[in-house]
Amino acid sequence: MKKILLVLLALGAPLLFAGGPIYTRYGYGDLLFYNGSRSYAMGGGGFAMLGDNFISRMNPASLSQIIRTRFSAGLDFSRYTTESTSGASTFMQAAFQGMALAVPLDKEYGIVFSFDATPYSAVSYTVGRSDTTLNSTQEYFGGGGLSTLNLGLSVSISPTIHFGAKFHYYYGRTNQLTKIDFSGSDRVDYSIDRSVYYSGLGLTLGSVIQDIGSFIQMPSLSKLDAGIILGLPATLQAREEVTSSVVSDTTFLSDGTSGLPLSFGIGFLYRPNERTNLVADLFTQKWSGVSLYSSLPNFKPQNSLRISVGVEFLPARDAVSYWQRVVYRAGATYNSTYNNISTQTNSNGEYVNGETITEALATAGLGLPISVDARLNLGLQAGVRGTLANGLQRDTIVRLSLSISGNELWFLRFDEE
Amino acid sequence: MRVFVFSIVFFSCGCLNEPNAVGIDLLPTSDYPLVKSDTVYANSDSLAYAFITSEVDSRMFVGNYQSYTAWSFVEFGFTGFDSYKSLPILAVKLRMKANYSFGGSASPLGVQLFATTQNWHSDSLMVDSLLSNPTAYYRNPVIGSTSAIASDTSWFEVPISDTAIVRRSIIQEANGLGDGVLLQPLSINGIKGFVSGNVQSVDERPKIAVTFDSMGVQVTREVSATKSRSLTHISSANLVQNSNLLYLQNGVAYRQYLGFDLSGIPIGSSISKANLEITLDSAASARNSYGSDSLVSYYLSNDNLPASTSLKVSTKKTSSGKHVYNVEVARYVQNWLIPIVTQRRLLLLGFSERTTLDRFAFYGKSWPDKTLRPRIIITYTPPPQHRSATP
Repeated sequence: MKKILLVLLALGAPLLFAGGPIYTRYGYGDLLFYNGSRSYAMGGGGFAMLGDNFISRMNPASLSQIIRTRFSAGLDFSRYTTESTSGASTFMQAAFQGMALAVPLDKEYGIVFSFDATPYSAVSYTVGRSDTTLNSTQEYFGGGGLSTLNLGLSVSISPTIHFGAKFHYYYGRTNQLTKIDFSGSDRVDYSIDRSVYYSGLGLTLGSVIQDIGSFIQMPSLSKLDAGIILGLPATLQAREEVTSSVVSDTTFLSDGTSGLPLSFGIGFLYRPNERTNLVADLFTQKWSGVSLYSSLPNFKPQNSLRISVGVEFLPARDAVSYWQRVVYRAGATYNSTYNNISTQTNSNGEYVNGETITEALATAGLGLPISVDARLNLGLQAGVRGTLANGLQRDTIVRLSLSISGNELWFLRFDEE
Repeated sequence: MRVFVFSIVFFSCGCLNEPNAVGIDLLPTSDYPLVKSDTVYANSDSLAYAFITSEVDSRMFVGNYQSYTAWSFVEFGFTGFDSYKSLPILAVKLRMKANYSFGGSASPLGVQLFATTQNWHSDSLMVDSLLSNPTAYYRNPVIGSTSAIASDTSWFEVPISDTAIVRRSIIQEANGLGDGVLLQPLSINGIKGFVSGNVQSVDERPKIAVTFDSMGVQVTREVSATKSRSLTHISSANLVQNSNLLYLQNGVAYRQYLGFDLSGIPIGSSISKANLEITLDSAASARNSYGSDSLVSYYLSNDNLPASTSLKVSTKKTSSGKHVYNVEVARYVQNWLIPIVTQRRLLLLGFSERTTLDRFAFYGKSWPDKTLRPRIIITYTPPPQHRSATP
């Protein structure tokens, strides 16, 4: 444990010089879709996954089979290589993936209470330019993002039908810092710091139905589980604070609202044998029509769609060999993001030919036993986002997730089965 | 652990920690600084007399020209004459090296000399004081005079006929020339400038040359000035010939306070550029090539004092046949936008204020052609304001 803590601290150090893709300037930034350390390596899905070994951050119904108090926490470590027509640069980021705690209250009825703090979005970019008009060097930094504090509760109305609800408190800020450095000593260098603070409440409902075959009277689907989540739209309060180094004693304030969309996800879990899980998920958010406080003329939120598949494999149950007790995971995901960005204008100065930003990632990971009741989950995601067409940029992404999940009995359901 | 260390190395390798231009085209244009440019015109001006204590200046003036008059004092230290004290004095001359001319340079300079009292070091001494109470500063009668052409770089000489007063100086008696010599102009067609007694180079300073008779041989011994001072005068009434013009007068000196109406520039704006432009009326000006054709500006604090660190020197350009002096005043304007700053004026003076008599006449705030009025062209970014839904 001590070693792991040291590693986590070491990984936090790169935050000091984090940059990132300029896409995060738009909307709330990158939406993170973090469903837990286990699903991270399985394409990010797993709405139908249940079990005592897993705290699902997205589907509260998945809590219902947790029989021991459980916690998890982790770090996400990303490396972006951004290409544009003007060149390429590489950034790295380290981010806390949050933590989660689940407490079973009634095993018979699957009543489990959970609390988690989970990042929702992230803004991180760093760009600069030389402006010959003003004879200055200009630097633009973005940071922050939304996070959530969540209270979840699950209940099982039958051994195979589970429901859950999760209350969200959204909070956080997005920040833009502009620094203007004039080359002449007579010019007054200055910076403008703009932050938008968000807060608001939200609700997600979820359900998991195990053994779909029994549910719909089709025995051939007896190894298939399904999970559904429905996230209700939310309205966040937004407060904008802008300060300038020129008038450091004055903060310009304004208030407004900003929306979060209706979201819907459906996922399936298929167990061909007791040591293998296959998952396939679809998650969509109705961003179209959502009013954002930080809207921009060249940014048009559009409905997003995320499709993911994954597999999880345990070589042997009750194995003596360490590596046979390791869980191996792999997956892939395709995400048509809510970003529709345009860099071209028509003769009226209106932005046209907006381009949808998509990303495709391959994932893999390991679940390493570190004690009887704990695992260290390693997850790796690699892929590309965006395009070089229409003046946009393409990001090559490599992410590493390190998380620890404690007090767990992995694949307990397999034993019960 | 090896996996973690490898991961850190992998993720860190080649990463950037300085902003660059990759992705800048995707930055919303609204994130760029909003740059505006406005021209503000002078809304107040004020001519101010500046008393110059010229006992450090490198040049001293003597002469009359139009309404200008210039007198000078020079002090000498009569030392090193011990072996000459008993020798007869054959001749005495005041010698000064000419290096400046204002007005009729070809006209002879008429000047007469008086022995002075110590009072001429008084800070408040002006030409008016000399005229109204001469005995307080110098003693009659005239001890020497001349009228001659003073060509630049040549030594201008004034014979001192009162050799007795020189002898008293040599033997350190009272009523000598130990307190200095006053040079009072007699001619009216020009003012000449001479190397003062304050310069570093002793050889260049004014001198008194005493010629002795040493057993039939003429021996000349010189003493150099140890201090000098000019008193140059023109009344403001005589200076200001046109109330629509602004005057700067070197050497006397007159300066200008200029105030500007900045109400159109939002408080909190970030000033990226601000240039004062002030246009010369050459016909109403009087200047030559002896000094720098430049102005100096100072930022004025709330209590109306020029801040020495705010000194700016002008550049000059020609626009539509007129000379336009340009001073970079971005920092002034930035300070003027601080709410607690009540003084939004600057001070203008000639760069060669202490060494020339140049007169600059500029088109003023009420000049009929607005394009010639004093103005500041300001490039700025307005302060952050509420921009609902368009951050």
